Amino acid sequence: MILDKFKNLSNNSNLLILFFILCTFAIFISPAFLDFNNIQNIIRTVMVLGIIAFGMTMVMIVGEIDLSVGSIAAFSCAFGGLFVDSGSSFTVIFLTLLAGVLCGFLNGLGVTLIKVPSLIMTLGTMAIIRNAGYIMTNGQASYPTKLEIYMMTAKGYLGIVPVPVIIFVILSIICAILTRYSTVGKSLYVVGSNPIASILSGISNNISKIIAFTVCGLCCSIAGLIQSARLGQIDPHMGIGWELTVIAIAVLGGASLYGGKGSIEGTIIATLIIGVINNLLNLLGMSNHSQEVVIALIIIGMVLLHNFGKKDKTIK
Amino acid sequence: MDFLRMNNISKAFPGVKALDDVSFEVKSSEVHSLIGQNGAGKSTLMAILNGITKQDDGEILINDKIVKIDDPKDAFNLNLSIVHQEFALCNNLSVAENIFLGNEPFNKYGYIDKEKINTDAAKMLNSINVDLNTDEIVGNLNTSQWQIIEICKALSKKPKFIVMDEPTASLDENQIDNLFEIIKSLKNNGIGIIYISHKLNEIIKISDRITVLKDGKIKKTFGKENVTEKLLIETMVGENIKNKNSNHLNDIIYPILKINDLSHLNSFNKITFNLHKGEVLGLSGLLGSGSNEILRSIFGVIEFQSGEINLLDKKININNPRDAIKNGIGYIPSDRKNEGLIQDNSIKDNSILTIFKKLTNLGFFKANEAKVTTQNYVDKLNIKISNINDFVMNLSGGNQQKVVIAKWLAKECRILLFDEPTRGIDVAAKAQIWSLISEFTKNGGAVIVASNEIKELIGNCHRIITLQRGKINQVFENKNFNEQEISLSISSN
Repeated sequence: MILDKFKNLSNNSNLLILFFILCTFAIFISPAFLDFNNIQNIIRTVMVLGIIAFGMTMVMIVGEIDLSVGSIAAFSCAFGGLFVDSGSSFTVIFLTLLAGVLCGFLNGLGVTLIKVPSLIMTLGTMAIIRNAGYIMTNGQASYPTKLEIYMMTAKGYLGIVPVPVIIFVILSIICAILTRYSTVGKSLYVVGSNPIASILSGISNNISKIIAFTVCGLCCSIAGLIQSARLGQIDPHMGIGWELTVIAIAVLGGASLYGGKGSIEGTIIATLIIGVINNLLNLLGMSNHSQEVVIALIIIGMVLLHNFGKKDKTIK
Repeated sequence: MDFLRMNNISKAFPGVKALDDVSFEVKSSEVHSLIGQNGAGKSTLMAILNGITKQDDGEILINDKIVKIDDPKDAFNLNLSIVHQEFALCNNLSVAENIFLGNEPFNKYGYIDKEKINTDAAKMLNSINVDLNTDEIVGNLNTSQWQIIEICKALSKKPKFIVMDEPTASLDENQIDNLFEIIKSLKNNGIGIIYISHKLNEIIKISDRITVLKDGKIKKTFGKENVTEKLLIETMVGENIKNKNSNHLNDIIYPILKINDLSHLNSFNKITFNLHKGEVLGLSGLLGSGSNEILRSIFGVIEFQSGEINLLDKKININNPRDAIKNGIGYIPSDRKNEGLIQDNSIKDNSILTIFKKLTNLGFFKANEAKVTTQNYVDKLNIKISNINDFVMNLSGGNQQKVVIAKWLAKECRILLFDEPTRGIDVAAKAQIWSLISEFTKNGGAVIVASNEIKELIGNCHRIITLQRGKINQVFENKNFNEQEISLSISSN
């Protein structure tokens, strides 16, 4: 146990060190980095993707991947958005989350029952779900500005703490407990580490995978909700390209594309690091395009590091 | 006339002398067979010939010239080809492409010369009197045709000598006759063949000479004449172990598991037997006999087509391992590393894999109870570890196997299916595994062991069922245990 914890900690503490180095560097480059508004800006921007990264981490722990996260966020919000005229925040929020859960569940079913590899399944649903959103809304945005509670999810404060930060923290605690202390979480790791041994021990790989995808769908809809409230509009075009950053966060946080690895703690720190990197690149005046290049390089670099660390160098 | 000679070869591995002063030769146009029980040293001898292992002592000669074989490429350059037991074919490529894989001729534009490989492959198939379309995709062919392609692959290297390792393991009788025709035509073309097999009747049919290896030594070389299966078995087995077993069948009268007419495609056919409370039942057969597949069917890993499984006189449906586990059946796979354990997880996480449900309280995992349970079984099974949080990959084979067993004991299974339980385990640990099995049955459990270690089975089973080609051949009760007879029943039709 002590060894396990230490190993985990050393991994995450490396990330923390990286985080502080980046912050120091950022302060050095531009004193504006420490500006309260700037910090708030970082947190607000990256929190949304961080929430999805919780779900992605679980999907990656079972050894799968979800490319449809941006589409699920857009679709579920658009679905909830159909009901803005009801004037009830509760209805809209509930339907948004329900749509997210169902989309994730659909991915899970496809990967397990029809046995479509998740890369292909979610590539397909990425297009299907997004375009279903366009068809459903005729590509029109809806405006939730009159829904007080809905808007609170992004704009509200509890004392001096912004509500989205509170949502992020609560979700991170729930997800951390789920992965670390629940039996479901335990089986996620088992399924990802050795699917054959897990089936032969009577564990249902399918149920674990469906749970991971469903939680991921839920996280997408929560993130979409916050983003919509933040912008004051529910736009079915939201979230294009999110999967890139989300996967970068999960991988940087220690999740492995080969399954069985990853932790919510790592993902939290990785979220902050990606936030700082994005902000740093902004402060340096780099374009959005170069920022995406950097994020993509992080994914490739992390996989490279992972392969270096492998003892077994069998040719595949 | 060419000779391949191995003179006074010795090879020791830590703890065992695999080969001890072994001399062996094969001539052009000769089939020289090599037989022996598991662990007799056949594979080591072949690995040395193929350059995979290096001998400690002794030399290899071709036509009285000493040759060095440091890797498979050297063997290839010396016109020495090996047909391995496992197929190594690309299922999506054609017959011709497979035959010339890695050895392709190119045309003047730098492309693979398809015409040439097709005509060459056709010629080669013709030379061994086989009618096979060279354009056919290998995945569409059957195992006997795969075997032929493997032989052609070996032939494409224009060998003077070919080693064949268990070439008939997956062939039926007609296919074996075909193969023997091919071997005869190879002989006529001047090729010398080293033939390794467990199947004695085939050995006698095809060989010019037969050499018996036992415990790393050459026991005897027989000529073609006057050799019988009985004689070969006696030489292979040596001192005949009969009923040395103190297990008695007297108390074993209550059948727990009744297997009725179980069949699965071509791996086994109409298998019927009972397993009794307190019994250790051995299943033994060569590769392809179906013994491992029967265990996997009972556990729901592979689906059987017909027949039924009754537990305590009630028919049970087993569609997947979960169903089997629900009925109190546990399975210890032969591939311990990949199927039995999660290598980079801890001993604790591995020993409680089966009891997640029991260790859950309101969705939470009871980590403390997991620790206590694991420690309990670590003590009970005498697993040598420093800490239950160590990774299982760092344990010895014997201790790893005990962790797999712990997982099923924790689940409180009534029936355990062991697939090759002592493979790759040292002698002391083997004895411990067997005593765990015996203790499990004394406490009311029942065990089926699929194994080819006949000595071990004789020492520990109540009954032994021998299998051939997916059918039950004979059933031995422990008062009739006789190593020679059992060996004969496995390897001779």
